[in-house]
Amino acid sequence: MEPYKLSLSEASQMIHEGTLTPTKLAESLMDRIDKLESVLEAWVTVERDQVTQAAEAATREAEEGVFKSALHGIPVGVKDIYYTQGMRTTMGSSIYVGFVPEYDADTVASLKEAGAIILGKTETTEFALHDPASTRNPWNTLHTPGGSSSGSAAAVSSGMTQMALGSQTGGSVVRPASYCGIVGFKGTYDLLSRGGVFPLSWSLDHIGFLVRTVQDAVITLKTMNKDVESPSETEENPRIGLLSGYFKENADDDVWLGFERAVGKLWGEGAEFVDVELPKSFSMVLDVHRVIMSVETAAAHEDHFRQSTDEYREYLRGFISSGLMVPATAYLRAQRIRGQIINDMINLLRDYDCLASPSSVDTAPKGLEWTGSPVFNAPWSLTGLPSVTVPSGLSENGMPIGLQLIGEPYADMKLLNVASWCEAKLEFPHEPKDPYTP
Amino acid sequence: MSDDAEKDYVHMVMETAKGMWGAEEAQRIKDHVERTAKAVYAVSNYPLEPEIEPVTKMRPGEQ
Repeated sequence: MEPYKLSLSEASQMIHEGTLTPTKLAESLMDRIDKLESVLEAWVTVERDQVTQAAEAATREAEEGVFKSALHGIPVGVKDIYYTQGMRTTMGSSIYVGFVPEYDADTVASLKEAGAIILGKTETTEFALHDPASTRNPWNTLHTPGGSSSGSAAAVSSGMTQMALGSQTGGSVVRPASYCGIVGFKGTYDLLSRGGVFPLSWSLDHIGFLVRTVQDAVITLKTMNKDVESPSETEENPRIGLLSGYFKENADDDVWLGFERAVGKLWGEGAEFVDVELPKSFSMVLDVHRVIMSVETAAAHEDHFRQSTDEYREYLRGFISSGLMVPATAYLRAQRIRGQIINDMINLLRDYDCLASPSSVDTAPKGLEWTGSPVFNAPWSLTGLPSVTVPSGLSENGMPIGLQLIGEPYADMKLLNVASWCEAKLEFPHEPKDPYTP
Repeated sequence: MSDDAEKDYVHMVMETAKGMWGAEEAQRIKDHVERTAKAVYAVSNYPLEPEIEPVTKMRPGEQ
């Protein structure tokens, strides 16, 4: 099997066994990039010489029996809002087109320390908000891969890397992962450091990553946060709270049908599903999210924006302008209502191993001018609860549908255990494939 | 809260936007201004729960 087809956990195991070298893996991934990048446009920067040198060094270390972690010698993608020392970091904006940071984001530094190789920087919407990159969906290049972690999703889905960092403020990890038929995970708020990641909205921003299997997410999380606690092994089938109401009302018919099909399959395999009623405060989720995010985004950009408004693209320009007009009391009130929503959701989660919903309103929309709606993911960015998407099937138009699972705060590994159980039962059979253009 | 009150608030914010950004720019960003204003209106009219919300718990006469 070509190394690019391996999952991260398979590649890691083979490197440790000596049946695959980091050099061979890096060459396979860069060949894949050479083949697909002109169509998918997933990467802003790939530093080939640096990747080759780092892979050779990791290969020598492996030959000497030195393995820094499970990610030793694994080339990874990094969303282009993460600072990378000596490597261009554009934030998807013309303002930062030539910016080269002098230091690494904390997460990038931890990956390097763990022996991972920075393969390159992946495309993002402008400052991780809305104005799209030119990246295309590997499942159908006429469709968006979602955003804002657009390049990370397309790169992992198409076999150009096994793991890529993303970030989520609304739905920017889970939605693109769902649209591209892969696994996307964002941890509990503050589980992974945001240091050195350009802020979009600091109290909503989450670190996340996109991978091909849940086991890949487990390995990545354990490598990036050694303190993360693993729950004790259990043979019991999961008890899952089923989110309908708001989610059923807003989902496209084919997505809801796909969700029901996945739930039926999991139920048949022994999962217990219980319909849950969302708390009254949940009705405020999107309004509270918008007030907080518009103000914090405006605050992050205020100085530059007032001097150089024309350097911002259309959506971000309007969003910042509107955020600059929000009264301080409204922002504070939004944060206080947010506290009530968090309390209510944590209380709701007490009776379940996790909650479940579709990962997105729709499958990846046609066209590249709109990266899709985050409204199924924003509640978990607002509440800081960990969430993960697992591919669960295909819609009638052949595009992937995802199952979103939401866990209790700091029960990230427990959530991934349930996700792994679901992944095994759902048996999503679709390997990453060559980009398809009808 | 009534629909009229929300409309009045959104209208007031749009007028403020014209003063801040100029009429042409305000028109350009109208959708954002209106959506955020509606969110602000909803947030401002949502009752906080004094039992679990520490700041409102400090209202004089209710201790």
